[in-house]
Amino acid sequence: MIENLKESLKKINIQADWIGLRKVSENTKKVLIRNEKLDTHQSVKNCGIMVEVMVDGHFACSASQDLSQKGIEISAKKAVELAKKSLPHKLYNFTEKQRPQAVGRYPLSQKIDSQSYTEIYSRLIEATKKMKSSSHHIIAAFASTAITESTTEFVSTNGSELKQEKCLIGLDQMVSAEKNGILQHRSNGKKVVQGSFDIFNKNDIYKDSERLANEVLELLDAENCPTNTRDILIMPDQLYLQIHESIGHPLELDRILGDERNYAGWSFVKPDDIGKLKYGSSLLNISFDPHVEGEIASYHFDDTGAFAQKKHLIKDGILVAGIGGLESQARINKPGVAASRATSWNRAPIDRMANINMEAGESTMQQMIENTEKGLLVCTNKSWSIDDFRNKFQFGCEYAKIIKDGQITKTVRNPNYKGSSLNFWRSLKMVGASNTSEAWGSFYCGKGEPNQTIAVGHKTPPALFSDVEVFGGA
Amino acid sequence: MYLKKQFSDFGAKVLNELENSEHISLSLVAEQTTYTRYSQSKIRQTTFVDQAQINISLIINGRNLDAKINFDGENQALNIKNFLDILKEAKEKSKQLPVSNTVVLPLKPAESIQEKHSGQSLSKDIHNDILALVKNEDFVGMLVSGSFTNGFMNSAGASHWFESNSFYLDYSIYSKEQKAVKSCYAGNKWNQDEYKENISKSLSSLNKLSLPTQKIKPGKYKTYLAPAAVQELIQMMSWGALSARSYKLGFCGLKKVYDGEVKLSEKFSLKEDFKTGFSPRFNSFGEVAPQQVPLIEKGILKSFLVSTLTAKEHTNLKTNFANSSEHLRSPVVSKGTIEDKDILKQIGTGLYVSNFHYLNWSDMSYGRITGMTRFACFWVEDAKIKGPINNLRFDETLFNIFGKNLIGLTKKTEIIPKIMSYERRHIGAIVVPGILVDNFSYNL
Repeated sequence: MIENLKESLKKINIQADWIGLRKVSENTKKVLIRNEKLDTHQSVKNCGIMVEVMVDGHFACSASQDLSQKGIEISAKKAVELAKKSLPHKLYNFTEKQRPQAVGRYPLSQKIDSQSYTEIYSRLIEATKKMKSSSHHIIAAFASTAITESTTEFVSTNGSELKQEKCLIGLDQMVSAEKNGILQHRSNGKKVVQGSFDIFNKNDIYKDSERLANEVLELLDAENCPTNTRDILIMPDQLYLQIHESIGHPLELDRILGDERNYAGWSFVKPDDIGKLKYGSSLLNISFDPHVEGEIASYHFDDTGAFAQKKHLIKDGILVAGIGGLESQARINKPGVAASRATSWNRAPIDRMANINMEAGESTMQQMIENTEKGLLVCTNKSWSIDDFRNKFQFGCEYAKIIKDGQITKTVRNPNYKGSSLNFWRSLKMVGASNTSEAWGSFYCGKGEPNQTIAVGHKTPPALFSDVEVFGGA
Repeated sequence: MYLKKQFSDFGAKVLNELENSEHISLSLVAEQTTYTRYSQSKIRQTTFVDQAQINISLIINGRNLDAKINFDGENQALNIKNFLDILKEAKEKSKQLPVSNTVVLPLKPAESIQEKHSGQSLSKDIHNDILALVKNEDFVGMLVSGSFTNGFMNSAGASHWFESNSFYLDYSIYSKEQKAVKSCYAGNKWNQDEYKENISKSLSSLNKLSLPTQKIKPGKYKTYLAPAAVQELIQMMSWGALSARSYKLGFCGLKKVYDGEVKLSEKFSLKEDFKTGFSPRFNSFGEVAPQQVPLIEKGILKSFLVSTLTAKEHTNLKTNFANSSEHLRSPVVSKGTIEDKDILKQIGTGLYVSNFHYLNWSDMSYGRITGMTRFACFWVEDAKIKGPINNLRFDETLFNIFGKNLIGLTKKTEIIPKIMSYERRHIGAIVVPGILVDNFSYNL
């Protein structure tokens, strides 16, 4: 309870300019069903406290599972010891401005009970049965879910008192098939939501099972994707990852500052680009939006206590803000957003994407197809790779259709495409209307030293890009 | 030994709570690690983490039910309470869930592994020692130090223990032209002379990066891949190319090699070798792998990594006691004959690649991988380094790299420690040579 945390904070006996306690409790349940049988079931319970101190402008952290007052005191002393040892070499002189007083709640919208689990399991089993039984070419059918309920409590010596509760839910369905030595897979793209169990709607799951089974069989007989340059109509279940890799990561302020250069990399974006750089065509509008109901990375406060508000990052194609919390904003003296987050109690907060969304345009799917003479419609990410400056990328998808003279035609398999980030976004020529938007995301965006993963969300319509290099499998 | 007695007492109490038909394996993973993050030759962030978790594998009514809970060395009552909550939940789940595809009951292996690798704590002046040598450079990286513990016991009576205390400094140094060299200094005991030599070698490479940048178009080039780049390729094999389970489910990058459709070079051999001592020899089931497990021998894929679970499901396969994930744990690639001093001569004209970045399968069925070159990569002409390159994207198959296009491997191998730290510090290392490959394909 947060009152207990406040009491613990009062009792800490150390010399520091500021102290924060962040307690995180998580309960996760994962189940994987393969061909109607149980592959794995895992239940994870994790709880701990991060004690963060500021001493002479330098932050240091000590994390432990020991929630007793004695344990917290030990962590606090350790954090001060680390801070003092670092002082002669500190990178920046921070102040309490980077840890504002924050008071608020982000309550859980829906809880799951054990009865619900029984029904969920039976739907997953039935989903794999439907997929597996549709053809003898199908070698395996998978359905899985992961549900994490978490509570984060944060108190500080300058009066912060936050409690944020979330329930993150993932649903995967996948089918593998083989015919004449050709192997193909088809999946639902790994759906993720926050706080809603509508994702387990029986009809949706079974409809998807049928669709995925049909499409994987199509892929077995399909030709390889051609190798040439053509327009590409990217569906939301692939475009979200394009946004993630070639907009989200390059705009992280700590990357721009160079903190990630030894691991995740740098960015082609320079500090002076913010406010000026033509990132994409005038149709490109990207926002940081922490208040989208049901989107996986919605929250009220980041892990430094900054209040999260919607903000444009790219407006009409121009870069206007970076993705970075108060520490990075102070260092770089550029606008950012409340995006300093930690994966759990055992990692310090760093600049992370949250919900990074592409604003809808005005085109219908039909209009985008009709406007394409020689194109490719691609669905569902399979593979991703980009360079350490976030420039040269290559993506692979599961399924594609050739567009010819304004019509969808045949299916092709192993569709891949490559390009460079700025050229690509400047080739954006049509954007789907709001009724075509879908919210996707991932539980496992990784960066940082030490490494950490975090949930990120990307809501996007489909969009059409001109003259992209595409190619097929071997 | 840190937490050994507490873990043993916990295990004894837990076994008392089970019914005769119920089985359990317990794996303790604990660390006390300090992470110091450097940027621009200064300290950006410091974090100390003290955590211990128990991975619980229960077998109840033909179902594998796993769990993970925190383990508090000072509060056994809390540990038992958490376990009992898990046990109660597992019994409920065993009624809600279908039977498992396969179940393997715990066994007691003939060997009990008890390993302890001591190390020395870093001095209180370590940041001065590190940064003094790079104060005029743009130095970025992470220092990791502390203890790691892995304990195991099960209801059949197996018991293992692995403990180590070590450090690594993984870093890169950047030039004004935004080019960089990368290196790592690791061990059990810090030696300032060794560190000085490591930095000196990096600064020497950094000087070469100030030569004029060479514009190289996509195409096929003879390429030397330094050990750090080779280890990225071997780690990719760990992601679905060497797993027996992946082969059976249709996700295997080396399927064509196993099926005899494609041949690898007889110069290439890969094995798991636990004699190196970097990783515990016991796996997540408590089984003890042989000291060495040959996987690829002179180009022939002798065996996938086969867990006992997979072997039970597919009776034509024999377990070699791989982990449940069937990932590589202690890989060693055999050395070749190319001397380090002859590398540039052997390249002649082509590319010297120090590191790769962000590898992924571009067509797994054909063993095809894409990724980027990174850090100190050079264009070599007539056996002389002409200058650094702007990074290139490659798209190439394992069948070419370790097959018909493999020219040779270096005589000297390098030990490259694992530096992953998702959720917790990962330990282990890979031993690899550098390799020379013909017609390596770059596409962007």
